[in-house]
Amino acid sequence: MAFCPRCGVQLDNDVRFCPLDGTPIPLLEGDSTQTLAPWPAADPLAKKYLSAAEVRDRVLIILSGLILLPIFIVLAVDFYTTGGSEGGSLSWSLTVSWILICSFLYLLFGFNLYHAFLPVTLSYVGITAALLIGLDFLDVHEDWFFNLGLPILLALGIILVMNYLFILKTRRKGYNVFGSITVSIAVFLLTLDALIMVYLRGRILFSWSLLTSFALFPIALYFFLLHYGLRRNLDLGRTFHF
Amino acid sequence: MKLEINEKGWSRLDNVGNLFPAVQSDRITGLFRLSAILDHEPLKGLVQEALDRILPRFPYFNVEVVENLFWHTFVPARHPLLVLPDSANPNLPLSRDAPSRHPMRVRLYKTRLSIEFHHALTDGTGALTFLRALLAEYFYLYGIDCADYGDIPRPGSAVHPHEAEDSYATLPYDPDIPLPPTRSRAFQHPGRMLPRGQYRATLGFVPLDLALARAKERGLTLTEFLIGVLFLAWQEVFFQVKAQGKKPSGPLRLYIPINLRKLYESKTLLNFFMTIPLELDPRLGEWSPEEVFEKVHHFMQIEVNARSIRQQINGNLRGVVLPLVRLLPLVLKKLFLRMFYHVGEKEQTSALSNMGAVRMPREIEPHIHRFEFLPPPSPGTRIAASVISFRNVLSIGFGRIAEGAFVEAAFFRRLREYGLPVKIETNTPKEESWRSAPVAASSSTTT
Repeated sequence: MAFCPRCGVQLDNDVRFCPLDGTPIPLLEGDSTQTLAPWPAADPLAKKYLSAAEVRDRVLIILSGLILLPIFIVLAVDFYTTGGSEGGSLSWSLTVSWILICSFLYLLFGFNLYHAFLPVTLSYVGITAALLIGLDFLDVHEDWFFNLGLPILLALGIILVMNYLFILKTRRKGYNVFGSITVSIAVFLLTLDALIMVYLRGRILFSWSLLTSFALFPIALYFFLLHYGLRRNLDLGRTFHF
Repeated sequence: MKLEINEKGWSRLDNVGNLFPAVQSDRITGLFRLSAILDHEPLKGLVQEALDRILPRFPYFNVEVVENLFWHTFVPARHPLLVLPDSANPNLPLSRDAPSRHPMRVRLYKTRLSIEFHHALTDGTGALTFLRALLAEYFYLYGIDCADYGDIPRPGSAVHPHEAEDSYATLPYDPDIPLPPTRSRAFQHPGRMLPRGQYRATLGFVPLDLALARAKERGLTLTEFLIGVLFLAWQEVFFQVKAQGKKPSGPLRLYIPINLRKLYESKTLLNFFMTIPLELDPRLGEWSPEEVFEKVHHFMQIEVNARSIRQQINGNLRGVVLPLVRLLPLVLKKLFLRMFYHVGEKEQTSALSNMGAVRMPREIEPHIHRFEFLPPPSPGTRIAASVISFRNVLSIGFGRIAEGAFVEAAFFRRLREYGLPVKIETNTPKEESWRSAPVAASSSTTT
């Protein structure tokens, strides 16, 4: 039996230094038997690097600081510079702060829900709605959120979700994904054009979106044809060899 | 409130369990370990078979933690729980990127069978019940059948309706109870953090009868005696730091977990504990051992009562029941909970958890040498202690994620001074230098 001469605790026979105070433990004659190692030497799970989740957390904290800190600075600057010599009111800084807060929320939800498309889309639509309604509220000249901002946002959200569901449900993913995205862009541009015209002129009119859709729909059709119209396992090299 | 995981397909985490997955990181793993040292090396296949047979008896442990919009929840496990080889560093984090989110691990190394439980799932009492059930089933398969298994659950035995109860929910939030007082920053371990993924376990084994005799001589319970010795060890470190000309950051404050099952007559195997703070301020001067033991004894007698504990529980519940907090998405809750957790840890010097004596059936007891208990790592307190006893072996475990074994050294040296023989085991690599005084903690790590 080995004992630490300094603190007096009993140790395994093969221990050469006291694990508590580092005192050398003399090797006694005939005391070379190895005791059962209490812990494995190899450490299969040990890692010195940060996990992906830990890296995400740290990047989020740093970026959050970079976004949130300026809020206090602009509020303080605005508070002490606006309202004449006495200061004491807030104007432009409210708009900046609101944009920064919404940017922080984009970041927060994006980092935490990055793996789930649908929750991230829905939360981003919600944050964008909050951003726009805030900007509309702070803008004293125009009242545009409910007439223009919200319809555009809802249209975008619906198109994104439908596009996602199509991609999710389709069994064989390939060129049809590109086709679906192209159709979604075209539909969104048509909707955007119509909503702007309703806001400006009071009725549905299509102008520039007809041209862009005219260009995009054939491209989408080409993708769908490539995916559904041609054989599976198409050997492009053989088909187009020259 | 019952957790009806098999009927609904999911269940809520309890009041304490909600905290741990939210603050979990590579440093805050939330895992604690209970081990049994057997008289032989068990076959991995036999342990796996015992685990497969006993786990269905504990459906509330056979779960995975998943994130939802507002809180984490348990869902039935999609993956089998496998017996894993042991690691040189216990209580390492559960992988957050892995598909399986089983909040426990069963590990085997030579004669040691260990279970690492996440605090989201249960506390020491629940974990010990599971380990005893696993051991009983293992020995049954090994060929040792017992005439009376006592309170150890057996495969196929009925699940008590209150076993999976969230007992905190039986104590509703009362806004009229004042919040527990906020506390100042406490003195903490002065060593630098160890590299990520390292956890120093130091286990000391003391004859239980002698330790009980030393406590009884002073009119103390065993827990009070060990808390007193730990305070004296920390006081030694405190004055070593002061002797270097550094200003210690605050008083010594040890957090002691209290098992609430007896106080509130609960049979739950989920979390049901509360920690109470004990304070000693060496800034007022050096306390003699008699003064320390007297203070600890009277504090435990006065403060461990239903009213004080109800106040602590009510304070914790406040963070869960406020509508604003409930409505916050989990991504935001995690951010705020982490901030509060780190602030709370600054109020602690360390913790000491006593699991008490373990009983096994008469036929099995001779085949188990001892039980071991290692606390979860914590970057705030950096070191914690835990105690468990079996037959005549009192096992005292220190888990540390900072450099320097000076707290453990001072603690076990004190026990030697009280005439208690101490046998030490540690997972510290042999090439690592040892420091007996915090003076060297800020210098290089090599000898």
